This record gives sequence, structure tokens and C-alpha cells, in this order.
Amino acid sequence: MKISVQINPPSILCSSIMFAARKTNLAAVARTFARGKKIQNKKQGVNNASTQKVVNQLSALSATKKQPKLLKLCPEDLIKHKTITNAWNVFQRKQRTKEAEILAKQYESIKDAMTELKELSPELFEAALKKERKFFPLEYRVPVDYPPRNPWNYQVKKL
Amino acid sequence: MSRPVARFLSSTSKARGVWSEYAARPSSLQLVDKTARNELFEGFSASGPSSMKSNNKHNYTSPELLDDTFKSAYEILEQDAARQYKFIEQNKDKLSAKQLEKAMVKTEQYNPEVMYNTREFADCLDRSVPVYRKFLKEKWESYGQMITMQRLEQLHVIPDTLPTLAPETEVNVKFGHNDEAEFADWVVPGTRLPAFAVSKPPTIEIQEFEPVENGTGLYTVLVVNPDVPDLSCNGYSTALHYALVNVPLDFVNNTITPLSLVEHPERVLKPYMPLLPEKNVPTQRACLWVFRQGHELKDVGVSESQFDIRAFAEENQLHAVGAHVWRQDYDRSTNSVRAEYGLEKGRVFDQIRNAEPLL
Amino acid sequence: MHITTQGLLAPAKAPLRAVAQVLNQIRTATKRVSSSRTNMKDSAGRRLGPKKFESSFVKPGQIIMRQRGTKIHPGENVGLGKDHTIFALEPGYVRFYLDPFHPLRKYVGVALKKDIMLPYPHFEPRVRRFGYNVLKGAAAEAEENRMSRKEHLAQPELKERAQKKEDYNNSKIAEYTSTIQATAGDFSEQEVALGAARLLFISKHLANETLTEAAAADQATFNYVHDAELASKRGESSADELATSRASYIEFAKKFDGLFTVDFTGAAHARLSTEALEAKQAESRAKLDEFSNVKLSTKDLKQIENIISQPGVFSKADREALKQKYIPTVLPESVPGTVVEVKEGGKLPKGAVPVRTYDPTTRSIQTVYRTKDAFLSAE
Repeated sequence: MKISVQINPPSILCSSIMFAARKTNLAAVARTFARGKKIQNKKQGVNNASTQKVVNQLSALSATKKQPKLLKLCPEDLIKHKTITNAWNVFQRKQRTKEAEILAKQYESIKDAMTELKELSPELFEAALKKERKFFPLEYRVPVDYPPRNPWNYQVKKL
Repeated sequence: MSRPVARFLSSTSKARGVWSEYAARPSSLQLVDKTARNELFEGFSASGPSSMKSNNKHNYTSPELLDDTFKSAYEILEQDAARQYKFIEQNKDKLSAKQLEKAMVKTEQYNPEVMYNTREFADCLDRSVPVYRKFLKEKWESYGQMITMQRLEQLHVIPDTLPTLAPETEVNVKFGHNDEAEFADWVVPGTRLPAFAVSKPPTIEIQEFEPVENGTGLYTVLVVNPDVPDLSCNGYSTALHYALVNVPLDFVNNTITPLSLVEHPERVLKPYMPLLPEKNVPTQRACLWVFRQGHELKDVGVSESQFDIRAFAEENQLHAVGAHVWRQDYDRSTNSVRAEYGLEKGRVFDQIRNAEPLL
Repeated sequence: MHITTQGLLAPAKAPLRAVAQVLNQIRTATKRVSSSRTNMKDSAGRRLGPKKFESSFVKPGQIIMRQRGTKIHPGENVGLGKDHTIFALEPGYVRFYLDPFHPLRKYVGVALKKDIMLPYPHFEPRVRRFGYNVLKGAAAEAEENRMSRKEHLAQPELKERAQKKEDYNNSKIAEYTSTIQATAGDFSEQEVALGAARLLFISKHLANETLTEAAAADQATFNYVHDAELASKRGESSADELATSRASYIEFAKKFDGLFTVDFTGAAHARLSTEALEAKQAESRAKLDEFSNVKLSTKDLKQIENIISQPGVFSKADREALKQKYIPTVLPESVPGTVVEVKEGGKLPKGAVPVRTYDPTTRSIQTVYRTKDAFLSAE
């Protein structure tokens, strides 16, 4: 299905194209539509090469060019987008609370087990609470090109 | 061209969530614009979204997979809302008014229809619905409240009239008797207005946003002028220009129109008298204060020329919740307004200030 | 020997003399002038410091403190000069004080009374001096009529605006009067005038979108009642007269509003019931539908415009939407006789306009040739 609303070039320029088209043949019309062809607008005052050059340079420098293009959504789609974001937040919140609940439960059961253990056997309770000192074994050394400045630490004792 | 259509809220679908039950919920939670509602849930027609103004809208394409994702997002949020509704149902008696309000907001704040209404139809939201009130409050706090407080502080309305203000209500003032657009619209706090523009009493809109604990629903409105020249001491005194008491207001009926006061003359404690500054007197401030009443006021007397607003508020247990201010200078319409109110011509002061000390 | 001695000693004595000569030598003035710049830099004292002290009485303009920079900050009722001189703005008593809101600063201010201390209590009303004398007689009149330059220059424009407004009001009042008289005959002349003024007031509010129709009608009623009350207060009418005129106007307003109203363009018309309005809207839409999918002549366009802008039928938004729908800038291609078939490579017929259209299904751009009358905005 075709829809007959003029698009590209904008409506201000349409009349100039219309007049151009009336005089010329189809080949010329096709040329007018050639991609990249600049349609010079005398109203805007850009009608010579040097001015055009400055305009090009300025437009390349302008801040709007450097910004990412704003995504144009119709109101309905914007609301949909927001709804999806909200749902994602709700979903994440739910997950986080679930995780927190599991952790709390785990902590509670550990606590219960330990209190019971304390009553049954204080020695085992102490042993269970004892911290293991874990060091990286000194023997596991990476082969290197040069000997270290301090070749061996004699004070370290194996646990 | 046919577009992919996601039908999931049509009347034929069997499972209906809480957000589709319009019998139990206020009808204002539905999207105001029926075509927009259709397009939101069932996709656009070939000519593109009708809410877009562009000539090019038939070329508009939605982001990929938006409709499907929206559908599942809607379900997640609706389930959450259903849970909230259930919670409210179960705990209705235990919750205080403020807690209930908060819970009610939670049920509807993510409803896409509500979001659409707040975005596109912010002027005609139903103020009886908590979620819309919350939206309006946020909107007010982001601009109107800040402007009002800035003007009250910079124009020294506080502390010249009352010590300070913790604003709770939005107060808007409009002089409807003006037919010119410049003066007939809502007055921005601090604006200088000519005498003809304030020659008749204003329409006052007082919007509460949250339910008041132990509230009487009655309000007092005072307009005072703290800049009346007092030649006996070479200083200033305060005059009362307008006093309304026992005005019943709620979320929806939030406007005091002049005609409503003609029908209820008992609410007018002191009839309106515009500020009419005399020539060369410094700019005068009309300070409008809105108070929540702790009880119904009966047999209140006021002295008009030497009015002490602080004492009046304390005596009658008035709690200031909102304020507004506009300013006035002498202008060429002052004398005609004076004549209208049956006053004599005003005094004329010297343009240059003297060096006599304050007595 | 003597000679030898002489001869021996002579060479020794000569250098001694030379040394003595060097020691006694004086440096001439030429050398001294060019040096020792460092010692000559001191300027005269600038007489800085407080000129008035605590509790001393000052008049407006008197200098309280001269300083470099703000050693002391200006507080209540004082001003700061361009060289940070602090001077009094009001007559009163000098107070040097500290402000809890700026704990690192010292302040000086002028208290308007002897017993007032600075700073003022934060939540108390400010103490202010009025300080203007009342003028009497001719001086008062001259002062009252005095205009600022700005006001003076604005006079012609203000007059012109007032005249324009009056002319507009008069023309509208005349229009409304004739409308009222044409439709219903049982209003007195005075009531017709009141009704016309009422319609004018409402129409202005609708045009400015400052009040809704109902609110504007209420306000119009109030305006009348308020004016009547003021007249009675001035003693121009008695309390009984006030009561009757108020009641009669409210009754008249009720009756009048049931018969007439205006729309936002200021066109007065008879009030329609909701059903009648809906019927009229449906009828107008049906009439408009006759113009869809056909070429539109200038006459047609005028007719469409007339149907859309019938007083009181369509709202502002509706009118815009209808205009967009029935008077588009370019007629759709489906309108018969607006598309020109052109063979490939053939010559462009006279009056044909190439238009590039985008087909979203095939995602391609095609050139379509339209007749000139497909473009409505060009006419």
C-alpha cells in the first residue's frame, strides 16, 4: 500500500523542486533526487561555496552532532518502555528480597545448630568456632628469571 | 499494511487482572482517551499512532519486541498490584489513613493507563484518587512549591507576617474578573499587579494532597498587608484585607470562588478590600495565608487596621499550611478603584525619604 | 746614608700614602642616587578604621567604617561603598555584632531604636522605618500627576490600545445585541445589554482559556453582584434595592444562560442540549464525509471550513483534528484524478508534480506524479 504524503525533501523545499521539475524532463528530475545533492536555499543565505564550507565545518563541530540521537517514541511506546523498566525493577526487587530471605534463614539455622552444640558439648563448640589459619604454601612458587632479593624467609614455620 | 497486533486486554480474553476490573476501582483510573487506550493495548492502525502529530507518523515503527515484552511486564506488575490490593483488603482496619493512602498509591502507580493519564492529561486528573494526588504533589514540589517558598522568603513575607511556613497545600490565586489574558490567569507568587486587576476578590484554589489526621476539613484564609504606613511611629503596621473562616474544602472541592461566598456569606469574616497603595509609598505585599482549623470558629472579632496575624492564629488554633503573595504599587487605576469602594482620594507622599528616626 | 735611607724608605712610603688616599676617598653623589629604592615606598596612612562606635547615633549617609576589603561586613540598615566603606542607610544607633548564620564574620549595622539589639531575632517581624512626608495642596497634586519618563513615553500606545479594546468591545456588543434580539424577544432593552456584556466577558475567558464556560458565567454573575454591593455601600442604592437587583440578576442570568452561549472564537449562538449538540455534530460529520476522497475546489474548501467552524458545534481540538482530516496539505493518492500515469522515459506532462513516497511494506521509495490540484496548501 502506498501512502501519498510527501517525505524528504522537507515541505519548504518542495515548491522549488516543483518549479524545477515543470521545466525539465524526467532525467533531470531524477538527478534532482540524486542522493547527497545539496539543494541550496537562498532564503537561508547559503548560496556560495565558501559560506557553505563554513556551515559544513560548524555543523561538524556543533554540540548536537556529538550527542547520541534521541530515540523518538510515540507516547504509547514510551509508556510501554517505562512499564517494562518498572516491571524489571519489581522483578529484581523480588529476587533480592528472596535471596535475603534465604540468607537470613541459613543464618538462623546455623545459629540454632550452634546454640544446641554449645549446650551438648562446649569443647566441640569451641573447636567448631576455632579459626583455621590458612596460608598460601611457601613452596608453591612461580618460576622466575632472577633469584629474589630475599631468597628465603627463615622465620616462617609450616603450620 | 497490517501491523502485528497484540491483543491481550480485549473483552474476549478470559483471565482479567485487577487493573481490568473497572467496577471495583474508580473509573478515572482508565485511560481518558479511548483510541489511545486501544492503541496502547492492541497496537496501532496502518496510519500510525494517532497521538503523534507528525505528518510522517505512518512511517513510525515501534522498537522490536516491545509489544511482547510489554505484555509480560504488564502481567508482572498486575500480579504485584493484586498482591497489594489483597494486603489492603486484609489490613483495612489496622492501617492509618496515611498508611492506607501509601498502600493505595502502590497498587496503581505502575499501571500504564494511570501513567499515560498523568503524562498526557495532567490538567484533568481525578483528585479523589490517591495515585493522582501523589503525582500532583510531586509535580507541585518540583516547581510550584519552590517558587512560592522563594518568593515568601525573598519578599520577607516570612517573618514579617508569620514566623515561618512548612508548606503542605498548593495555593493558587486567580482574579477572574479580569478579561485580559495578562491578568486573568493564575497569579505567579510575587507578581506586581495594578489596582484594577485586583479590584474584586480572587478565586482561591487550595489543594490538599494527603489525608489529614483528625482534620476538621475547615479552612481559614487571610489576606494581610504588612506595609501600611504608620505615621504616628514613622513605621509600618499590618492591615487585614480579606478574611474567610470555616470554609469547608476537600481533595475535589478545592476552590473558593467569589460566587460561592455570595451564597454563603457566613464564611466571610471581613469582606474583600483590595490593597490601594498611596503615591510614592514603597511596594506593598498582599500576603495570603491559608490555615487549617483545629475547630469551627465562632464569634471571632478582628481589628482591621492594627491586625496581629500571629495572635489571631494562636488564639483560634490555626495551623498555617499554605501561602501566596502578590505585590502592588500606586498606579493610574488606583484612584478609580478607591472611588469604587467609596474611599477618599489617597494621600500623596514626598518622593524623597526624610531622615527622621523611628519613634 | 741619608740618601740611601731616603732611597730605601721612599718606595715604602709612597704606597702607604696611596692607601690613606683610598681610605679617605668620598663616593660622589652620582652613585648614591640610583640605589636604595626599597626604603622609599611608605605612603601616608589611609585613615582606615571605624569612624563611629557602638551605640553612637548616625544619620543616613554617615560613614561608620573605612576598610580594605570587608574586615567587617555590612549588616542591617547599612550600605557598602565601592571601596568597602560602610555607611548608614537609616538614622539610628551603631551596633557591632555577630550573626549565627555566618559565624566567621563580624557585622556592623544600625539599630533603628536605642533599645534594639542586632541581629534581630530570626522569627520576629523586621523593624522598618517608613520615612516619607505627606505632601499637601498643589505640591501633592503635582506629585500625583508626575509621570516617570517611561510612563510618559508609553501614553500614546496605552491610549491606542484602550481605544482598540473599546472598539472591539463595542463591535462585539453590537453583534451580540442583534443576536439576542433576533432569537428571543422577551428580554427588555436593559437585559439585552446585560446579556451582551455577559457574553463578551465569557467569550474573552474562553478565548484566553483562563476560565471554563461555567466558571466564567459564575464570575460574570459575581461581577454584577459585587458592583451592586459596592454601589449600595457608596450609598447609591438602599439595602432593599440591592437585594432585589441581586436576585433579579441571578434569575436573569439563569434564564439567559439557558438560551445563549458563546464559543471560543467569540461567536454567540443559542445553547444546544447535549442530545441536540450530538445530533448536530453527527450531521456535520456526515456532511463533511461527502468531501472525503474527492478533489476539492475552492468553493468546497470554503464549505468545509464553514461546517467545521459552525458556532458551538465543535471544540477547539475537534476543529483542528477535522481540519487536518478534511483539508490535508496533500490529498491522498486514493482520490481519483489526482495521480498522473507517466511512462518510463516519457516527457513530464504539463502540471504534473513528482512526489517521492515511502512504502513501509516494501521499505522502498517511489516517485509518484500528482496533479497540481492535489496540493491544497499551494492554493
